Formats: sequence, structure tokens, C-alpha cells
Amino acid sequence: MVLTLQDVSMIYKSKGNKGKKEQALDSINLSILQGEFVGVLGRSGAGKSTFIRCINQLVRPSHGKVIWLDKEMTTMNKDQLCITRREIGMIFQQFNLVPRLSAHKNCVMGGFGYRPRWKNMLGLITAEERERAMRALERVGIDHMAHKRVDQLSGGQQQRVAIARMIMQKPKLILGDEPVSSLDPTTSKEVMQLIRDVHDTENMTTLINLHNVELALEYCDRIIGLAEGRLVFDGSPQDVDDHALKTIYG
Amino acid sequence: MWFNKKNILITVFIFGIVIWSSIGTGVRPIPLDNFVAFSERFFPPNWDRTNVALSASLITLQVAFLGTILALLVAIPISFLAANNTSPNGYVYHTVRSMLSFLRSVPDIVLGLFFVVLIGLGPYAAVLAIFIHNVGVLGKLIAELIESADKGPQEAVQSMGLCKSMVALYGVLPQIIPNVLSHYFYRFEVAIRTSLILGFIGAGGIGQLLFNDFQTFRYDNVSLYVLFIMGLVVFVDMLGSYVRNRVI
Ligand SMILES: Nc1ncnc2c1ncn2[C@@H]1O[C@H](COP(=O)(O)OP(=O)(O)OP(=O)(O)O)[C@@H](O)[C@H]1O
Ligand SMILES: [Mg+2]
Repeated sequence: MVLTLQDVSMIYKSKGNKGKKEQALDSINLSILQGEFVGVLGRSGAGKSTFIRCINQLVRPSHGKVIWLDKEMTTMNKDQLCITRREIGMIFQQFNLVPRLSAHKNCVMGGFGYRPRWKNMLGLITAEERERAMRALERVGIDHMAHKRVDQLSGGQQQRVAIARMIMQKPKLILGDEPVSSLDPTTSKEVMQLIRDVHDTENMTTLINLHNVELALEYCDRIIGLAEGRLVFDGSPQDVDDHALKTIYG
Repeated sequence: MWFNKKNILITVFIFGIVIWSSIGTGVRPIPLDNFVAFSERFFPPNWDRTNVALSASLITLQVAFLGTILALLVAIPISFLAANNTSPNGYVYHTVRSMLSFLRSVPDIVLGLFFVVLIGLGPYAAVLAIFIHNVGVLGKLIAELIESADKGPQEAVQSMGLCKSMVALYGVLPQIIPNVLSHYFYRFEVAIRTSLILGFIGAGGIGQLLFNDFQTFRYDNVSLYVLFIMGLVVFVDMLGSYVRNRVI
């Protein structure tokens, strides 16, 4: 077991809306094994993004524990969280690269969590880091665009840069919040294949939100389903039948 | 669609206020011959004063540049404390916010009068007045840019294990630079006009020349200065669009 969620709930207190409370996650219990590639399915608003963000504490759950490699993340202070987050890479639907910087600079940044603060302040980059970032870009097949600004790249190319940035970070766990939902079907498959390759060769553990069931069945070893913040399905891709889909999607 | 009872009433109402304000401020037609006779005294501009006007213009430019660039350097770090997404806590946020609005609330002309008394006549007083006022203005404007910056890159930088100050430096700053420059150049342009007015109270530059010669009825000199002032504003505007085009 590398990742355990115990009774994790998240209640948003929205500022507008007369302080109405929104229960996005409801007592999630889950254990993830080393090396698993897990797909998370669910309707829009089911709590998938909240679920993924509760793991690396970008959203801090209202209740429950998240335990990553025997460390309880839910009780960590800011500094401990920063150190632990280095082990957890994340890719996003909107790629979330830093605009106006080159693909290469974005990629180099992936390793910044390991450097002293003053070095990051000044933005000094060693030849070794430069070279390593270049190899990461090569790995995702985008090295010929290394010095182009990321806002000038296509969606698929941007997601590749984001994956290279994540490789630079050397994580043990990959989180993905609908990383292929903004891409066309062919590019989606290429990017999923790339994530799967990285997962397999680097021996990682992966959790990815997907809204496309076929992609989930094709690339994942395990599928979990969320509906209205509750875990309503947990099984292998073979177990996903019409009945299961009905439980997840209603 | 346009001609309904409500719109006609609104139009009549606004027109009424226009008439009322015109009576209050003594607005009336100016006799044309009067106007021509007065205008003639401005022409031709006294080109003999070109050297004097040029060096005074450069002083005005230096005042505006120095005041605003120092304000920008001070305002950038402060604005991160005054933005709710990058400020360390609510206490710092509210304190810095109120401090900035205090700085903004004092008109730069009043600050100028104050510094002329405090450190004496000359451009230095104008630099200080423009600096202080613009720390308040730029601090607020940049804080608003920080608050409305795209959350995505910030989340990404955070998820790589970087602390809050690095999120500001790498997740926010690169996004907002073009808009920061836009605001800066606009404030630079405004500072040119401010430093002209500050010249009227003895803070040097082409504003002071203009004021002095206006009072001694040297309208031929005044028209030359006006040409230089227009040149200054056009120059700053062109510089601004050049830099922005290079950066965006
Ligand atoms: N920051 C927030 N403040 C208040 N409520 C929120 C916030 N983020 C999400 N929610 C609410 O929590 C619930 C779950 O949202 P979440 O974004 O996790 O769903 P999702 O499954 O990722 O949906 P989608 O597929 O559309 O991305 C929704 O009802 C949403 O309105
Ligand atoms: Mg989502």
C-alpha cells in the first residue's frame, strides 16, 4: 500500500450562495498499491477534481486522513507539505504551463522543488539541469520545440511539455486531472500512451481522472467510480459492465 | 426603439443639467476677434529658447521616470503582500492594503507642496511626490493583477513542491508582466503631466518655465514650451507601445 485514504470528506463553504455548504467528497476509503494505474470515472460535479486535489493537499480535506508512504499528509504543515509534494507529480486538463516562458524553461522548473530557495529566487540554472530538461523533452518527443514559447504550442504539445516537467520532478506518484479532455481523440491516445510508458518504465503509481470510459478501460489497471462525492465503484476494467456504468453515471 | 417616453424624459433631464451647469460656470460664446487677437500673441514660437526648453524638458522627463520607476520597484514586492492569494495572512493583507490606499489618498500636488517646503525648491521634491503617490497607485493595480491571475500555473508550481514565495515568482509574475508594463507606462505618462503642474509650484522642469513665462506674458515662449510638452507625451507613448510590443 503506497497511498491510503481514510474517511476523506470535503465540504466547500462557498463565499457567495449564502454560505451554502457543498459536500464534494463523502467518506472516501481507498487503498492504492505500488505500481497501480487507476482511472477515476464520474459525472461532471461528482467530485473527481476535488478527489485528486485532496491527495496532494492542493485542497485540504475537511475530514479524514491521506497517508502517502506512511506519512500522514493531512496533518502536515506548509514546509513538510512542500517537501512531500515533490514526490507527487500532477498534470492538468489546461496543462497549466507558465505562459510566456519557453518549453525548456518550463521543464527545468520541474526540478526546482529540490533546490535551495536562493537559487530559485535568482533563477540560476546549472548545465546539468539544462541537459536533464533537454533529455526529458526528448523523452516526450518535443525537443525540437524546446526554445519555443509554450503559448505558441498546440494542446498536445503543451501537455507533452507538462509531462516532461513532471519527469524532471522525479515523482513516485502521478496525479492527473482530466489530462486529455482538451485534446482530440488521436492526440488523447498518444498522450495516454505516453503517460502509461512513463508510469511503466519509472515504476510509478498513477491516479487519473478521465471522462472517456473507453480510454479508461484501455489504459488503466483499476477503475474507481465517484457519484455525488461517494465511492460507488472499485474494480478491474473487466468488471465495468452496463450495471457498473449505470451506478457511476446514473 | 430609441424614441420612447422614458428616453425623451432622460434626455430633457440631462439637457437641463447641462444648461444649469453652464450658467453656474459662466460658459458663453467667445468673441472671435478677441480669440484671434489673443492667439496672435502666441505666434511665432520663440525658437531662440529651444536650448532652454530642451534641457527643462529633459528634467521633466527625468523627474517622471525616476519617480515612477522607483515606485514600480517598491510596489511590485508590496503588491504581493496586498493580494489575497499571495499575502502570508489576513493581517498583513489588510495592513498593506490600507497603507497603499493612504498613500493614494494624498493627491500628488499636495505631496509636492509638502516636499517643496520640507527639502526646498527643485525637481527632487517632485520626484518624491510622484514616487510616493505612485507606490500607492501601482501597488493597488498590481495587486489586482495578481488576484486575477490564472490559477492554473499557480497550482502547477505548488504541486511541484514549491513554497508560497516561489509560487508568486514563477506561477504569477511571468503572467502579469505585460499588464504591469501597461500600467507602468500609463503612470509614466500621467507623471509627466504631474511634474508639469509641480513645476508651477517651483519644482523645476518645463512646467516651471511655462508658468513663469505665462505670468510675464511671454506667450511666444509659452507656445514653444507647449510644443515640447506635446513632444514629451508623444515620446513616452511611443516608448510604451514599443516596449509592450517587444514583451507581450
Ligand atoms: N472551490 C470550490 N468552492 C465551492 N464548491 C466547489 C469548489 N470546487 C468544487 N466545488 C463543488 O464541489 C463539487 C465537486 O466538484 P469537482 O470539481 O470536484 O467535480 P468534478 O467531478 O471534477 O467535475 P468536472 O468533471 O466537471 O470537472 C461540485 O458540486 C462543485 O460545485
Ligand atoms: Mg474536474
